[in-house]
Amino acid sequence: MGGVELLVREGVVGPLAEWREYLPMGGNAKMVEETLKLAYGEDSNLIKDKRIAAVQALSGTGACRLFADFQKRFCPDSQIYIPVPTWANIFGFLTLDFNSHHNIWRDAQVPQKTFHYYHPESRGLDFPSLMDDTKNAPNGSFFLLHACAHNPTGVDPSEEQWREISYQFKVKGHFAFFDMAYQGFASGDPERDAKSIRIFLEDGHLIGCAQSYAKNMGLYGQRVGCLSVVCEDDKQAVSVKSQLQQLARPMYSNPPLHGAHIVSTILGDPDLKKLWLREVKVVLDQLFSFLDFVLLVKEDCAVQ
Amino acid sequence: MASNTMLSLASTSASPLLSLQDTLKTKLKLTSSNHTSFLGKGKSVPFTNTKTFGRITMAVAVKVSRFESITMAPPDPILGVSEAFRADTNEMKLNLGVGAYRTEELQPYVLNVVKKAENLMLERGENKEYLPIEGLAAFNKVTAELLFGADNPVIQQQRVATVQGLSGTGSLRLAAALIERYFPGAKVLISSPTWGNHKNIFNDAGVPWSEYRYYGPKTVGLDFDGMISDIKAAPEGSFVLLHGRAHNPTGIDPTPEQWEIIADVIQEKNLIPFFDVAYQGFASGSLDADASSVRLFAARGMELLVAQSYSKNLGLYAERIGAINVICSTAEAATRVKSQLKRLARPMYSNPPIHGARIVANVVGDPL
Repeated sequence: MGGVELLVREGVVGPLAEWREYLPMGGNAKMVEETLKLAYGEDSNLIKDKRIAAVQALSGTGACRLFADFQKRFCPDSQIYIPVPTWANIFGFLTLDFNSHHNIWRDAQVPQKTFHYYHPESRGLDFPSLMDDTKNAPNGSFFLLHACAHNPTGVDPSEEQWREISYQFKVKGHFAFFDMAYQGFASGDPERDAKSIRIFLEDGHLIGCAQSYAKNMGLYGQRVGCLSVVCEDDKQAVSVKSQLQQLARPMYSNPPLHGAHIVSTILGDPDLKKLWLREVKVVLDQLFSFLDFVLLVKEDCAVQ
Repeated sequence: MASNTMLSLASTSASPLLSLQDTLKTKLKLTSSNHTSFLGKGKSVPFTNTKTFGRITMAVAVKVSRFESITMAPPDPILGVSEAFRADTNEMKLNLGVGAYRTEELQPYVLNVVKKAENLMLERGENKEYLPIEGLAAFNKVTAELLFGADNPVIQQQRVATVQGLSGTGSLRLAAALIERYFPGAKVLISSPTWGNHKNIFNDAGVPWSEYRYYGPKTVGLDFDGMISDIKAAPEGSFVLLHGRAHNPTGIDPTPEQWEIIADVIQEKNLIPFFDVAYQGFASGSLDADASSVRLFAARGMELLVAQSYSKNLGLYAERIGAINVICSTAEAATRVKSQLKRLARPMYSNPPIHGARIVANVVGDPL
């Protein structure tokens, strides 16, 4: 991302002595604060009331793994419902072991079930089956939902469908864990891409959320992300955060600072944040142009 | 132990399989008993939410959190001190807790060579794409060579499986996960005392551990007889966690002669040495001298594990850069071990952070 490199050259972000030492176990607090605003809303009452337990995590994978370990520790009898299909790790193609969400909860020793999602015949959402699975799951089950830009299908529920899913979740007392790896990249508008989460929050769900800057800030190899868990009140949020840190300590002690510093600098500065949002749109437009081109070529080939 | 307390608390928390109503009842029951509850006594069921969905209007109470019985974890003995230090307003305060080298002005110290390396990296304009699961190849090469020496037979024969890890902690955790999966039931012997996080790592990885005597309070030195005796008594196939140099927290290391005897015992008893090398270069000032214990074991043809950290010796603390090395008897075994270390890393964080690895590769890989 050109803007970020400019930052570094200008000396806005760079080798700064005070940033070299260990981050607190919860990570870069500024980065976490800005990241929560993206998911929960700039003016979110949950943030104001300090009801969200949140820690910096090792990108989306690390956030999911931390949550899976947390789920195992505090709800040891629970299992996780994962959509079919779901994120498959490209590295796994080499070892034919690529169902990453499955691998994460498996290594955390949380049993897994699946729920219907994709309808291959229509290349769309299998909404009736999804709702059936939601209703048939035992009350209080944990579900993994892709907040936007479902990986790998790209098929998302409509706003109305999300509302119905949220309602059914309330009836059943299910726990919604959102994996949001593409905020900004689904529609070009991060607020719009967070709509599913906002719907659940409006309905009073206490959700969990994994966020990643791998794609939408191009920080892939820096491993920057965030895990958040909405709690009943600020006291509980403090406790839950301490337990998340307790899980992270024997895994990696504290998260890496470099990428988080870039994120907090960008999101903490209104001009830089605007620049980022513009660049996200540019990337998305380029992606769509490329897709159009591919489709054009495909049609050409079909005609010939 | 904190983790036992947590687990017992977790077992008393409301089961997720209860219906919403049952969950509320349980929550109220917990509140009215003396059981610790963060909702406090007498607090009413929080807010109800009325929502209209098409033709249906339903008053639905906000779901009770299933994590409500979660208590506050104790502050970390080491990192918690830093947090308390930051909060303290006394001008005369001094933080002797966390292992971070500071200047006379109590400021963090970034090595000049690190700044040079970062400027070099900036000029090159390197990208930020994913590393492979095992980390930066250039880093893995130089880190193993730093440990053993580039002309060491274990390197020449490609018998070292090296995977970049999240500093010492992350590297130890990968090794612990490997032990749990491929040596089920095997235990790790750790020194008494040892670095505070060692026990947490093995606990969370599900690896049993026991202690061997190390520090002798009467002599304020090494209790060598106690150490040897306890290692001899370990079951065959146990792992023995050794500090390569600059034992944390005592600073007391075996002499070269004592290392030979330790190696003898480990070989005789068919145990597996497991080194934690967090201070290479900081004990004596010589990178090679500080690696002598590890090289001694490797020279005997033993298979061993070595976790490395660049937090202290390159001042890269927060970049989280380290490595796990498994020295195997054959190159083929090393390839297989590396592949399994990758399988363990991927569902933890997919691939390790790039920045610190690049710094180390540039610094250690450049003869200047």
